[in-house]
Amino acid sequence: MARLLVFVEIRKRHITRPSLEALSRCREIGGKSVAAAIASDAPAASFEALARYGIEEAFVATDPVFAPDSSIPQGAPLAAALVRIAEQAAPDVVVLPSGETAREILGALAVRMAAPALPDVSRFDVFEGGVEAARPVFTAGFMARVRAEGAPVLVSLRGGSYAASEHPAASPLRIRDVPFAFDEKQSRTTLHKVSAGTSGGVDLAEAAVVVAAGRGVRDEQGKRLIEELAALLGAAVGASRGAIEAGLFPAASLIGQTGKTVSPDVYVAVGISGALQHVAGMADSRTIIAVNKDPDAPVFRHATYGIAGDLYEILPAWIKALKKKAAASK
Amino acid sequence: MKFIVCIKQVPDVTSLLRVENGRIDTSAGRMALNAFDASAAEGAIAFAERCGGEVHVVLAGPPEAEGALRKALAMGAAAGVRLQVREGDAPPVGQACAQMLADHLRTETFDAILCGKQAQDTDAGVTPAMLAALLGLPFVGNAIALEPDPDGRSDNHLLVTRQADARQEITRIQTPCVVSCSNNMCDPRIPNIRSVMAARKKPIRTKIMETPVGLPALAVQRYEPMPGRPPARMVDEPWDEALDVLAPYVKIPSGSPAP
Ligand SMILES: Cc1cc2nc3c(=O)[nH]c(=O)nc-3n(C[C@H](O)[C@H](O)[C@H](O)COP(=O)(O)OP(=O)(O)OC[C@H]3O[C@@H](n4cnc5c(N)ncnc54)[C@H](O)[C@@H]3O)c2cc1C
Repeated sequence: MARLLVFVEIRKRHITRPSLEALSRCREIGGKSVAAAIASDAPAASFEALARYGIEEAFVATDPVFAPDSSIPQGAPLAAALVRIAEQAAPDVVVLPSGETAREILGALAVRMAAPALPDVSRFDVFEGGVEAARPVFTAGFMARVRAEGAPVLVSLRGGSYAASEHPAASPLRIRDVPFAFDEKQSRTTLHKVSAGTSGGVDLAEAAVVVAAGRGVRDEQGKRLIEELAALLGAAVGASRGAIEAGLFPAASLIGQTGKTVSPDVYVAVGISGALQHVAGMADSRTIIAVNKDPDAPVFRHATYGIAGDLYEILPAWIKALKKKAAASK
Repeated sequence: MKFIVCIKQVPDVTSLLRVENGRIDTSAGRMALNAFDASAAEGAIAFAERCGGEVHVVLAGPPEAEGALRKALAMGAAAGVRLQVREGDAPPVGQACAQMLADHLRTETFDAILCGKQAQDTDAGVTPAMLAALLGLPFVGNAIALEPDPDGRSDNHLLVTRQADARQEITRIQTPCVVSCSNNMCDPRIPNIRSVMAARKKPIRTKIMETPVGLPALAVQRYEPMPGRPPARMVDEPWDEALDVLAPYVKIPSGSPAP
């Protein structure tokens, strides 16, 4: 049975949803031969969640460099810790949740482990001696079926590709402490300043519903409508490049090839034309509802439900109607 | 600062591309300078114009890919190098391409190597970090701004703003270094006719290299069209079909009066 090692990303003391999805997929493939890799200043906080997701073994590199307020950019220490962990765990496959962290370290891991890397896959299977996967390419215009052989093979898994499902472990979590100490002088980088970058409190990668604004949202009034609808739905706020260029939404809310890949239960695209670079980041959403005043907008080619009309008239009516529906169902 | 920008020529992803027997037919489309590399080149050129310095470009690819080098020269780069594999060698893919670039860059002097954050054809984005690891240099990925070190004592640092998943990080990085650039860093300039003409006189050197061998194996078996979605259902007022999808998510604060 192939041994799978999953890098578990921790943000604000919580395991990210894409990490839980990766754990769940690996458990589906590998059963008991799945281990978690954790790099943290305080790893114990995550152990209970790992056990809930059926993980029985965790390799842990503990170092103050991984503290949330660390002054060292995380790429170099994370890559170093994962190389260490992989030496000890000797996995056949290493899976990372896709995202900017994985993008920053995957190439370094490939070089240092002399391993093939399959970035941003949306499906993968393990066979004796390697991995077969599907990954969107050409701005998500085509799907490439790829195959890599080696031990380990590195894979980064797009969020939303598999469901995160709890499955309590049969036996208690075994902790393997991996000796690790990061030499800060090696890093040659320091964090000069950090700024929070998303609007609203809900994390895009975690959200069940995303309300995304495009250039059609042209002013503060439109922004308030987006935020009001998002708050009502407990949704995260996303944006297209058009909306960010207009200066109404922060760059961290960008969805698409340059921005984030999201796959919520429901994606509401408001005043977004549906350029392929945007669609590349949201096409895997379960249900897509698009509002656009142009009935021929390309976004309707990707939507489940299309509404041709002016968002400035539609959103206020929706907010009212949704409140009414919710009150009626109580 | 001396920048070397690594660039790639890719099929224009907005042109007519089709899959045929598991391969992508690019013959109907145009080739273009990878958009993210164009932003990296623009970032370097604008930096050099503002703070002094020069920009060189390097590309691994066949003679037909020289168009991408000319484009970068027209934007303002001073000189280009094209890495060409020996006749009969397979084109370098994946880590072999990073290895070839690294072998070349070891023979050059520079303060910073810039790359686009990914190529528009493979959408992989692993080469920049591979380069940094092969050259043993510090690395920042997904940069959206590039500034000189405000602590002007030394010019062996850069300030790089990185868009991370949940925050922006301004990193002070020691040169020489490798930085991968987002297209959110800047919009590449469109060269005017005079710059295009001037670029024809700028030097492009061809360097013949062996394709590195023995590197991790990885193969595209076939390409497929993306699984399509059923056509959208257009819904009109009162939009019930769409609103019924959203209604279960509505959070009404308890105790608040019904509308
Ligand atoms: C290399 C590269 C990478 C890129 N990466 C990304 C990316 O990650 N994410 C991204 O989003 N873009 C990206 N882009 C840009 C992308 O190509 C588009 O330019 C962008 O997505 C357009 O944003 P938009 O749909 O908001 O604006 P527009 O295309 O201007 O569309 C606005 C839409 O709003 C509609 N509208 C206007 N007023 C109203 C109204 N009152 N009510 C209802 N509808 C209205 C219009 O009909 C129109 O369809 C990238 C481009 C390149 C070249």
